[in-house]
Amino acid sequence: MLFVALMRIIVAGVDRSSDLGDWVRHRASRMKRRPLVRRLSPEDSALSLAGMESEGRFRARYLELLRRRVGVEVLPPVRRRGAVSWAAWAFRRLLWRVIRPFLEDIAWQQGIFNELVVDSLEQWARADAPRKDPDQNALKEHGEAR
Amino acid sequence: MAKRVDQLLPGLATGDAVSQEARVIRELLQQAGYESRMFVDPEHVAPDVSVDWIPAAEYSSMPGDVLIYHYSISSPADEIFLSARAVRVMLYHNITPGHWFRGYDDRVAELLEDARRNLKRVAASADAVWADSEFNASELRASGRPDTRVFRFLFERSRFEQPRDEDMFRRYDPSMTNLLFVGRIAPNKCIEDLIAAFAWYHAHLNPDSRLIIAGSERSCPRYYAMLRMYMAELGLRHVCFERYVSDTGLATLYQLADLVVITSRHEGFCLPVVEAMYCGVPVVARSAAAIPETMGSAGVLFDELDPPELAALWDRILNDRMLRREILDSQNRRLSEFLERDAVREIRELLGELL
Repeated sequence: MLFVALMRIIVAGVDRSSDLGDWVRHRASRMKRRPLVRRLSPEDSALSLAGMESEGRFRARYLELLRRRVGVEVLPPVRRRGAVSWAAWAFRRLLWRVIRPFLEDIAWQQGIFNELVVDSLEQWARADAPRKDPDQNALKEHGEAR
Repeated sequence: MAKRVDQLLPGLATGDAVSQEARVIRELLQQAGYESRMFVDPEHVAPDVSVDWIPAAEYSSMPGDVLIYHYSISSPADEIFLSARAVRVMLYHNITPGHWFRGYDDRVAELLEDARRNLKRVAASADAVWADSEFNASELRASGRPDTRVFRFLFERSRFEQPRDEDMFRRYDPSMTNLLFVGRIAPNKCIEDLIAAFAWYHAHLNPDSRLIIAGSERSCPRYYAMLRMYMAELGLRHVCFERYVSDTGLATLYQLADLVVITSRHEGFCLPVVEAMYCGVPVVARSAAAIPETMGSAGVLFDELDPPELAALWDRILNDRMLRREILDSQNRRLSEFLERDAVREIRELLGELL
């Protein structure tokens, strides 16, 4: 049997799930048609850290997620609709072209720095795990997977 | 009549709801004519605490004294309470189920699970059991104390009657829409749901908005790290973590807030609901644990809304003036029930039943 959870909205003690709920559902479905919210796959998302069985597993997963985030991207300005937005975008793009080499240099240095930090954290975690954490397997597996 | 009614606490921290309540109870007891001291496990006293306290190990009692034990976590204070010669009252503030902390902080998860295991034993040996909400009382009644009485959580309005913090006021431009969450940064508060809904609200409905999260991250730093990572992955620069804020700062944040938003799934009372009502800010909270009881017939309760739906609900409340008025009127009615309460008489009556 399929269980469908029902939306419930109570305003000042009165159940408004039908009228206000319908409005909310309609408005939300319009947003969902063209989502503007950035989303990662469940596997890459920080939310995959929720529900870990132990601190050891949390730490291993956390390091894995940090490792996936070491790179720093330099992206061009996003274009939005409308004449004013177009003008602002064109101006920003011009600026971006001028400063791009400097940005890329900063991003490269930041990327190296991030990598060094994550490397150190991983080494520290592997050295520390047998002493502190009975659940060492997660960290060991993480080290072997890399 | 007993002359001395002392309190025993597993810890003491500024901004902690149980510590605040113990301080207010001491004032009530003194107003009611009792001598009252606070005994605390010194291992868990925050360095910035300015309240007078005595190490728990120094507690001694005379027959006829009363000892109120604030129970919310397992601690060495359990044994001091159980061996006290005084009339022993357990005041139950609820225990967050340990599973919420598993993975983030296994030691805290175990302490919470221990506290739940010990709950029956401590409650059974107490001469009287009080709880600070009906929700908490029902838990104790189900575990063998049908005589549990409710001494509702105390709201201290003087904390919100102070001049505002100008630095904070300048930092959070009131011309933007400010959504506010107040509470410890702990996994049972489900702050990730709040951030997810805010991402939709900010991207689709109101780019001139921010989410302010005011609460200490010290109780669960790994959960805080996860939230920061999640915020970065959504590209949300308008989520501001205020961490611990003073009373003045908190009062200022409520002044700046357009909406107080709560997504917690486990609360024994949820004091920020009452604080927001006092400061005249509409509250939108998840209908979970003790929250519906604290809200009464006021504010907005929701359940089973996904992030875009919750964002749409916030938008409607922020833009529909009639709906907003209806919510604020209901909150004022509920607030009067908290403000018109005669807590000194209540505590006198409860103590009178024991002696």
